[in-house]
Amino acid sequence: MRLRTWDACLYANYALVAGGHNFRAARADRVRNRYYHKQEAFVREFGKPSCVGCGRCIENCPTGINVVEVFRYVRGEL
Amino acid sequence: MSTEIPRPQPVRAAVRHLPTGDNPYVPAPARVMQVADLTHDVRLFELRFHDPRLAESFTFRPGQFVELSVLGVGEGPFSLPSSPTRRGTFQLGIRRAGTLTNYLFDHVVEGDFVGIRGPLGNGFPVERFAGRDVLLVAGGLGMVPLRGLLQYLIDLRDRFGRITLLYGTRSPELVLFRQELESLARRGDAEIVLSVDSTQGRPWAGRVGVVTELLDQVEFDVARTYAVACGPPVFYKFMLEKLVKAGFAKDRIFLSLERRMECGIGKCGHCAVGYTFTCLHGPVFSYWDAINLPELIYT
Repeated sequence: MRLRTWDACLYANYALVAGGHNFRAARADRVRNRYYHKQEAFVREFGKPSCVGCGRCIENCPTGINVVEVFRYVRGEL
Repeated sequence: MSTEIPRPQPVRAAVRHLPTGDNPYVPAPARVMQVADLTHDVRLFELRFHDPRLAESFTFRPGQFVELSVLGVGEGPFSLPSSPTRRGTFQLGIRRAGTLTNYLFDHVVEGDFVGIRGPLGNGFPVERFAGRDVLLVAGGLGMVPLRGLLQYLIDLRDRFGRITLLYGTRSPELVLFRQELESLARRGDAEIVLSVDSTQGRPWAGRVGVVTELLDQVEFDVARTYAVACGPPVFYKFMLEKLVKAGFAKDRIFLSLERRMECGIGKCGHCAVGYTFTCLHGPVFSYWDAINLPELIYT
């Protein structure tokens, strides 16, 4: 049997450890981690973002956030 | 006794090969040699790799960890409470906490096989401790990784100066490795001070109070001492402040952090903290590095 589980860094239990401590319990913390990890820290450490650049988040954003502008902001380009 | 341990590795984007397998996702089978209860919910498992060559060559840095898996049940990260100076077997100190650990406690007995991937993480900078004094501060289950370091320091006793261990738990029956620590203290190899939050009516010769207070009880020369702390988040919150107030430079305080390491090789991102990976850059950080990372301790 092959069992696959859906997993994403924006899920509430993503950083939950044994003993019940959740290091990113607040949604804001998880969103911040997603932006800064993919678009700022990884760029700084390894020279490119850890994002494939498919652009679906830009096309499908229900509130019309200019995601590329946020990328530039977290990288200190704005 | 083998004293060679792997050198610290530069951090790359991900680990591609491990001593337990060219494919870092594939665990190597290891046999459970011995099982011993440390407390009512913490158990010490002694393991040996099935492949005799791997069993003899497997080494690690104190403070590193491994991923233990049981087929069909799950996988989890566990720190190593044994020292790399003692080859052939290694130990894991495990608390009953979830699906995998419940299975380990209820079904895994001596002679069974489990899967191991590792060693993972950076480990303590023991090279820098040479010729210096070392102060270990443990809270609760934080004793598990520090016991591996303590064993390493004791096995190579003449390389280091004074060794002091301050260890606090909630109550006397939760003290891990109690007999071993008491006999070490009697032999004079290390100065060991134990404390409990409350005795709860049990016999107890040590101190009563929180572990942070122990820092006032011992004297040390902060100019030649490295401090190593390991414990739950609330322990760090008070202990680190206390160590800084006692005069320790922030780059001479090391802490081992607990995070949800799932792949252990820098791929999955579960252990990302302040945009570094605990499994690659850590789990051991100096306080100097830690204090600049958001959400590292104060959550």
